[in-house]
Amino acid sequence: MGKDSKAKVVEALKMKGIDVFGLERELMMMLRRGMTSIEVYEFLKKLIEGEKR
Amino acid sequence: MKSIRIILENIGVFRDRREYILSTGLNIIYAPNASGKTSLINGLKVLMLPSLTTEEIAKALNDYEEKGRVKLVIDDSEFSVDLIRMPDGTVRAQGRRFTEDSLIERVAFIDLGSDLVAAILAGNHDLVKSILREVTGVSHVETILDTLTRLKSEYEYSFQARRKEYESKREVYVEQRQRLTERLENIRKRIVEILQAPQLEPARKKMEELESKRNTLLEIQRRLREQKLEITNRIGLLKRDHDLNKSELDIHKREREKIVKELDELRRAGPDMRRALEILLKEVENLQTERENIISEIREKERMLERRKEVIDYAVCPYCGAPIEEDRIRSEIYELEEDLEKLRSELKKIINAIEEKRMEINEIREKAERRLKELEEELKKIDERIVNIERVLDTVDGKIKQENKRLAKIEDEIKDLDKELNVVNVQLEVLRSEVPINLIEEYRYLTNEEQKLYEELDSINAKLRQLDELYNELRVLEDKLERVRLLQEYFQIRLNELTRATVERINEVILKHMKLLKLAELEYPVLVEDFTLTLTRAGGTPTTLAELSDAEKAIFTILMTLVLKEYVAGEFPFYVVDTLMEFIDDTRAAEVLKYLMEAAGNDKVIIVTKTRPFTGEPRLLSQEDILVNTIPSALTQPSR
Repeated sequence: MGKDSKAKVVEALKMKGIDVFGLERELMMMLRRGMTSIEVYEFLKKLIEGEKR
Repeated sequence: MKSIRIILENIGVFRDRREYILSTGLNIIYAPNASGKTSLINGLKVLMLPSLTTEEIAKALNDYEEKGRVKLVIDDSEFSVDLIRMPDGTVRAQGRRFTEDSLIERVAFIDLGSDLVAAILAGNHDLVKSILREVTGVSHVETILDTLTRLKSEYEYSFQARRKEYESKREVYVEQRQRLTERLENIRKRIVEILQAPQLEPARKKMEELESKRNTLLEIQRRLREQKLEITNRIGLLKRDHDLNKSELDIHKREREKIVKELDELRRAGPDMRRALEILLKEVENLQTERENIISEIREKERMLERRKEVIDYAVCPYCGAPIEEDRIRSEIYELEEDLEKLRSELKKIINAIEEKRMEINEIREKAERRLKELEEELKKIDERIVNIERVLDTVDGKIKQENKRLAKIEDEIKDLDKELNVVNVQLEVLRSEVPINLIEEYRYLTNEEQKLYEELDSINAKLRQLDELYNELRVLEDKLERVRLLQEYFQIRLNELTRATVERINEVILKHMKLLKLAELEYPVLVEDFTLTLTRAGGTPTTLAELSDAEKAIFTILMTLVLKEYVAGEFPFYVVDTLMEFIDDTRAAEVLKYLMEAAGNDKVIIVTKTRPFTGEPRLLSQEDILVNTIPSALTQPSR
């Protein structure tokens, strides 16, 4: 059930042009390197506005 | 790793160059207090921790020295960091570190300065939980989720506000349109009635023809007005695009000017910089000559000193046979030793000066080259952007021109229609003179009203079409909101998965280190799903961190950091425990050390400090104080 809903969300994001696995990797890596929450906000905002990916 | 050498220059308590050899396996630095155990660890920290604070960096350099160096040589690889005291008193660290992973500090360097150690020793469960979440990366997903929640509320607010605006405007316009349409229908009905009145009989046919022609012309004119409005809107949007691109172009051009100016200045400064570099190089050359002279002087004096020391015990000189005057030779030896000390101190100063000059030279070169490269790259990027914007501007301007042509054509057509309508109206006026005056007045009033209503209806339709743009914006916003919702859903699922999996995995790793758990007199498991510590005493009595003894807390800290290190930095070969062993009684300390020896195996380097009781005079750390895979006998002998 959980896996199904995750797969559906991943597919829906893919249809909207977002590779969520790549995004998770990138964000986790940047957070590990000390990215601040403001930078996360700006990064995600750009993604949602369609300026990235 | 076959050989590991650490070289410390002016680090901590050491005011000179020290070299120690470390080995794979367990290295116990077993030495008295103030001998330099922590200085060695601080040196390692400088080499391995990229996120040290300025205070920690300053602590590593000897208080009386202006600069120091830590060097780690592992087989053929060399890592070195220089510490330089700046004029403002701060200490700068520069060089090549062994790792750039900031997590290493929290899982592989365990001392009283570590936040996890402090939290465990203070018995603060919540802090331990939050550190565990941070180190394992779970809190990163929480940060992402918090950000998405904030973004979602922003988009939702904006979406709802726009939707309200759209719906309320649309309601008003639709109602107005309906009212106008009803009024228009009534007017038309009355016009038909008037046209069918018997009093109009003689002129009816002609009037009906003209009326129909007038209606057709009005209809065409209405369509043309609609087209005109659409084109005007399009031109407005294109002009907005033009203005936006133009202002962006202006900004880029201004930026370009600045870059070109800086580049010119930098290039003009080239000869000055070269001159400064030449001066510095000349200074280095002079210092090197001076150094060579001092070195030969030292060698000469050393030779003289050696000879005097050799002959002092003889009655006669073995070289020339002259009798030896011991007092004179002793005073010469004293003088020579003094001279040598002075010369060596001078040599040290010169060597330092050479190094400082070299660093200055490198800094000037690197700084200028780096900036030049940065500016050239920036200029290239800006030029590309300018070309792109100019291309877009050309396209937009071309479209504006086309739309203006179409607009002029439509305006001409509307004017022509106006002329035609005037002719029809005049013809109708002539016919109206042949019929009763009251009907004609009513008819004239109604046709005027009809025309006004048509115009009002056109304006309402245009407003409704403008609302379509708002509707499109609404749909774009809805799409963005959907993206945020999906991302939030995904990261919520990931947070649950990650939390569960991480806790399971950490518990599994803890199971591998059961011996340490037993030494801390605790039972498995230690963590529950949300990272809460659930501590149980051997025998099943629940307990808390605060209730553990200092030794138990210290062993528990070693256990948790070993586990975390294995989880987040399993490949990192070093694991260092400073000071913590002092909290553990000798019997258990020996057990912990044996355990760490096994854990280190042949590929990891575990370094643990342990204070040796004073025997004799205070002294600095020597290679003999580093015991490799050997537990100090003082810990294993119960009679002690």
